[in-house]
Amino acid sequence: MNKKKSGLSPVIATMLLVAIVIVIALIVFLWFRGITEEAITKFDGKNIRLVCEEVSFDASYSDGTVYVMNTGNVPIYEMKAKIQGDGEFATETLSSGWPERGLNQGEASAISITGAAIKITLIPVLIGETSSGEKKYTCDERNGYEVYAA
Amino acid sequence: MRKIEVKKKKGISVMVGYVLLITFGIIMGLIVFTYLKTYVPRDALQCDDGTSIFLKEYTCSGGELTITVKNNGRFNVAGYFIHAANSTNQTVATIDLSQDYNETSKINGNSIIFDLQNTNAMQPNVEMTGTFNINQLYTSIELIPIRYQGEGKDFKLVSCGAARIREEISCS
Repeated sequence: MNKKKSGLSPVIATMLLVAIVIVIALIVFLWFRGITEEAITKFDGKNIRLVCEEVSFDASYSDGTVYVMNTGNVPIYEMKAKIQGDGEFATETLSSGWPERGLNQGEASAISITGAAIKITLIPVLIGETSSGEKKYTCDERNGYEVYAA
Repeated sequence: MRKIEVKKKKGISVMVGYVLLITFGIIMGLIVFTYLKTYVPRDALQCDDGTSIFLKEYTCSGGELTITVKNNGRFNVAGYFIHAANSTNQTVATIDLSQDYNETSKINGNSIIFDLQNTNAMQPNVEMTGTFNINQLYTSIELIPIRYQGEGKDFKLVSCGAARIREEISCS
């Protein structure tokens, strides 16, 4: 008699199995979709992380103004600045004087910054393409450029 | 008898199992391929080594800046970007002079191009003179040579940042 008793009926077991499979499939789908959306590309499908390695610019800082020249072939959409002052630290996106459409090949710009700086780390921001349209990407700090107060 | 019948029952056939496995493998492979394809490195757009120009002479007076540029490299050059600085403290020149060039037909965007037929017209050892109308006294100018490079859809104007030159000037 005891042997005939089962913990779950076959119908419930099947339903549980199907439900678990659906949930796992959904999780895997969302995970993969997240991965593919994160792939920002530029220049005909090149990952933007690789494009960041090609960014080339020169910069200097004097009297509250940062001078930047794009010496490479990658347009720089925006520029983030880590401004290190005397006992203070701030991060901002350079805007006053920065061209609206970005700093293209061979262009240069003078940008005013607020506050006294001892050292400024300039980090380029590029614009790339994703499956859902254009998206900004901030390059790694190692792709940046350090300038010191003259 | 009954035991044997139960053993023969299967939830899914072996063939369907294989088809599902292969399909799943192909889909996974495609997704991973699509993602990793973007990481395949390709040649960056850059100037050939050995591209070089230098500022042979200049005159800056009476609201005119005249420069003579010589191609002292191994490759032809298409033109140059030119910027000026009006302060000795400024080590990166940011004032674009290309729009002040006398021969407006040679202005291409923010650069000066010697020949608008998309060719690298300035051959090695050739000198080119150009005049700019200026309205302030500049302290230095910077030039970056540019070249057309690549083929087909990759044929583009390339900035030769490594060959950038800077010269202190004095205007009166």
